[in-house]
Amino acid sequence: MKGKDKLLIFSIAMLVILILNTIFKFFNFYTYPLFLFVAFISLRFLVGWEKDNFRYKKDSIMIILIYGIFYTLIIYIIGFFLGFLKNSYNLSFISIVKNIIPTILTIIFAELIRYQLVKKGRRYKLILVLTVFLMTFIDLALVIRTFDFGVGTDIVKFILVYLCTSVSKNIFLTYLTDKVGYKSSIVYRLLFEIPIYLLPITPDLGIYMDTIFKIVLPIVLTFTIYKLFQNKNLENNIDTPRKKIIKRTSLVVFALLMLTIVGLTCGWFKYYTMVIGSPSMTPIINKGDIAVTEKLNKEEISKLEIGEILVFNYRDKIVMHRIIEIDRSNNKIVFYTKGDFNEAADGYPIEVDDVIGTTKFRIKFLGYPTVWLNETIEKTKK
Amino acid sequence: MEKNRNMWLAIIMIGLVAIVGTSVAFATLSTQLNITGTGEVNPANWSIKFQNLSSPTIVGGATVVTAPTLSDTTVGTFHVKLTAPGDSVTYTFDVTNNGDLDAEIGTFTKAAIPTCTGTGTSATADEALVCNNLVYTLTYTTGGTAVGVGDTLTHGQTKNLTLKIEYPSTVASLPTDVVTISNLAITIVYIQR
Repeated sequence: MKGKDKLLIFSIAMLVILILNTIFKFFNFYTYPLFLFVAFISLRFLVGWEKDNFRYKKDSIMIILIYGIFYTLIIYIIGFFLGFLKNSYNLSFISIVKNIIPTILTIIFAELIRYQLVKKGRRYKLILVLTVFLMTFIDLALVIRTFDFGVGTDIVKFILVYLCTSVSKNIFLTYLTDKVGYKSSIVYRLLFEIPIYLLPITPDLGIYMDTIFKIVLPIVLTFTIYKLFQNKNLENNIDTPRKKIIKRTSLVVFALLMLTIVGLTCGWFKYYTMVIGSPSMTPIINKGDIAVTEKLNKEEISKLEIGEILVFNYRDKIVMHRIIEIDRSNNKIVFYTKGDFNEAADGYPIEVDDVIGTTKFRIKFLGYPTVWLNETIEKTKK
Repeated sequence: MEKNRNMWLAIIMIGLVAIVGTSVAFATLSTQLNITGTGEVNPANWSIKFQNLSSPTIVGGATVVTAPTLSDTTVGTFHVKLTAPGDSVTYTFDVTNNGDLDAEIGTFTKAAIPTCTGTGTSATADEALVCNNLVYTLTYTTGGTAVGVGDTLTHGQTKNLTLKIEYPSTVASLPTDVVTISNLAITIVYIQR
């Protein structure tokens, strides 16, 4: 049997076992490393083992360490402004050992499996793609079982928060393993997956920004490793100066556009975007529009006037209606609002603590995909 | 190549010094750090969810104005109206540990007495009457003991909780006007046991 066929059979067998695991839950956090060890030994028996004799291992490990250190520094400085989250894991010595050892073993055996698949299958694109797919599944095998895929919110959360980040990570790690072997991949995973069990506090970036960082960081590292190898092969560096300028300008414009979108969506800054899910402010702001909201402090809220469009919290929802009355008696400010398209006023008072800000302008139609996704999820809720 | 490696080594050292320095600064300011909640967990080994919210059990003339919604980690805002002594609304729901690690309640936050805001000329008296008598409890359905810090939830275990709001029948009188009750939020934070 050819090597390629052996790798295919192994990959398919692994996928079948992991799919069955989502239904029958064979493995848990403690037995999963044992399964991966058996899989690694089986693969070694099938295709043999080649020593890791790649060049530039030290360079890539250094790059990963640098990115890891500065990434940690940046997010902890951000945490100083946004706040921190207390660790839910027990930080006693015994609990740390119980949490870390299965994680380390899982990482080591998974990366050794990846190394063998990449090393033996690097001539075949199908094997490399299948490796990314398989390693993502290995990554998420224990995560999948905690989600209820009959509920829309679980599906969306799984895809965005776990699947996308895992795919990004595994594309990077497969590329890295192909270039420099398994040691760098192990270092990367230890650096980013162990601290959750060790650190007493972590920055409260919010689910959106945390996911963005976890998707973008592997992409940036992939690009850095690619440039590392491009620079080593100078004869491949054949761009003309004009082409270089176009490439760099395009990259800068693209990066600025992405930063603007992420900056407006994350809600960290003074202005942020909201998708309009109801027609209550038609025709000024329609369902499916994106409204750009300015966050206000208490002093700015006190200067609001009748006619401005207020954004506020009401019963776990964010509402955007026009101010029709302001009561400034008893040293307290209370707003009363009404949707432009509604016949009656809202009928409840809004206090300063519930106010988020005001709407500045809208962008038409861009919010429709989000409205559609939200309505689809609502239909699946129990 | 050697020059590049030395440069990277220097960058790593600078980064490590920056982290140590920042850590020292954080330690100095530790009492001022803003802790906003509990952190990200690995769903491969940790999964605690609220599930199976029941329909309300209504006693007397109580009505549900806004029913609660249930997500994995939150029982959403709900509104009930109690109009006479003996009125009550009761919900039950499950808390399930689907992960591989045993858990216990690390933080349990519930106001001992909620906040009552009266209206009309007897507002103060109404507030005291309602807030001193209102019963708002979260207990385990089996046994009836109150939920509290240190309660365990081992891996694979499910416990059913009862949330009850009642204006007891033993209270002789009603407020003269509408009293709005707030500060009823309950927060349960599970940590690894």
